[in-house]
Amino acid sequence: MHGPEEPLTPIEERVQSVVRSMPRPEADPAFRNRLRREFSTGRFEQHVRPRPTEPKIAGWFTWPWAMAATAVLLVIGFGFLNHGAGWRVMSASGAGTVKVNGTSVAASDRAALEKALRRGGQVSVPAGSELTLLFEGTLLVQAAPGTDMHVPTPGGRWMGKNMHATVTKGEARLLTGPRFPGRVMDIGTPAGTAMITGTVVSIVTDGAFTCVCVAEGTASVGKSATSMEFVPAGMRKVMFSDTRPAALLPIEAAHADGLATLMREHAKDVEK
Amino acid sequence: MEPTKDEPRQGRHDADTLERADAAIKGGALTLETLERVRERDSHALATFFEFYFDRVYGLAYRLLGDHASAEDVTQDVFQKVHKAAPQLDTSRDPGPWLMAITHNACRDHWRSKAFKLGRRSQSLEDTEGLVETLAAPGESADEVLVREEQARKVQAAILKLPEDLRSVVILHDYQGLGHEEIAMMIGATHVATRKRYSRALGRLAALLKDL
Repeated sequence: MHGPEEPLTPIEERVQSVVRSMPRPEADPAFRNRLRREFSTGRFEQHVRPRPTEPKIAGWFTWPWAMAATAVLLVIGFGFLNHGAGWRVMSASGAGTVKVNGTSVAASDRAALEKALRRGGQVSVPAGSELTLLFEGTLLVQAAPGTDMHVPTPGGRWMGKNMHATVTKGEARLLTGPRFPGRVMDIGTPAGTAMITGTVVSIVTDGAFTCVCVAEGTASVGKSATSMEFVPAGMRKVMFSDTRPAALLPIEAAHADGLATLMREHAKDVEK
Repeated sequence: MEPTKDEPRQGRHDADTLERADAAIKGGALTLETLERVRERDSHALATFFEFYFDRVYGLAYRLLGDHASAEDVTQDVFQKVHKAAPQLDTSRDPGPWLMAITHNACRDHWRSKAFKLGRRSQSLEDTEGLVETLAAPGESADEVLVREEQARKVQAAILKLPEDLRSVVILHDYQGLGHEEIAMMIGATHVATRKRYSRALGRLAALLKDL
């Protein structure tokens, strides 16, 4: 049957001769005899050969699943590592009770305060107390007596770095640390918003007006996103809830002293 | 099959059938009369038919699939199909190519089956180790037998590395002795395409077997 075909190359001829020289494989005589008997009688039996089975894990283990699981683990791991340290209570003076997310916590109980405020929350500091919180290396927030504010959730290390706080009443002082650059924090008040990128500021509000005092660096302050203006160090911007125009003025001595004290007492804390 | 009281008679029946099959095979071809009786499913004729074609079917299956277990499965499948189709057998033509086509198709189905792929994945070299069940030819030394076995092992391993379409063509042509025209009809390709595949197969084998 190897009829004349197109001529082969010498290499093809050599391979052909090698293949043709292969011996015919011998079947198992028992198999051969059984099959001959079955074929000639027509009585075929089912011979079930044990088949290699896939490992049980292969039933559900597929590469897409593995990749998805890996991705989920990576996301969880990243989320965990991205989580910055929580807020730490540096000091809580006074004998009153601080309300954290509606729950009263004795100002003297630092551990309870820290537990309640680890991831931020709504804080009401009574008139006789002062609360100082530290987000290590990043930001120090001091809520003066009689302040109602929302302490922001600490920003992430690499993602979700920005923070958002609100001050509805009283005075909040902010001191940024060496790990703050690259973040933006906005502080909302009833009369306007301040955006800081690294500075020392105090935000004073009573609902009808808001005063943003800048001791160092600059802050963008305005009633709305379209009316933001830079407030340089040594200046303050006063905004009103009503239609009165905002005013840019030199910082008042009392607020300057307060911020100076804050820097003097806590600059080392925030730099750690 | 369970042993029965008829076992001794079955044994004599087998011996008788084998004797007749041997006689027919020694004649070089199956007679028209034998094929006619295969159509009638006469047990002696079927046994003769079996003996005449078994080696070719098993050999083709083994060469295409590369292991005895798979070759046995396919061979059994082929002979079951043949038995079922026996009444429609065309006695005017050589059943060989038809049988080879059934075997080739069964192999193709088998090597695409999940079980075969799994078997391939976990298979060691044990099958290729015992590939050549040959006795020393007269005058052949033990060393020569070993060399021949090693060569056969390498050739079979190389053939199994070929893609299915190339493997089929080279086995059907060089091992089963079919012409390109017959192979083309069997695999549903043109004569030219089959010839090209054959040439490509030899080229690849040449690269794989360059140390032989």
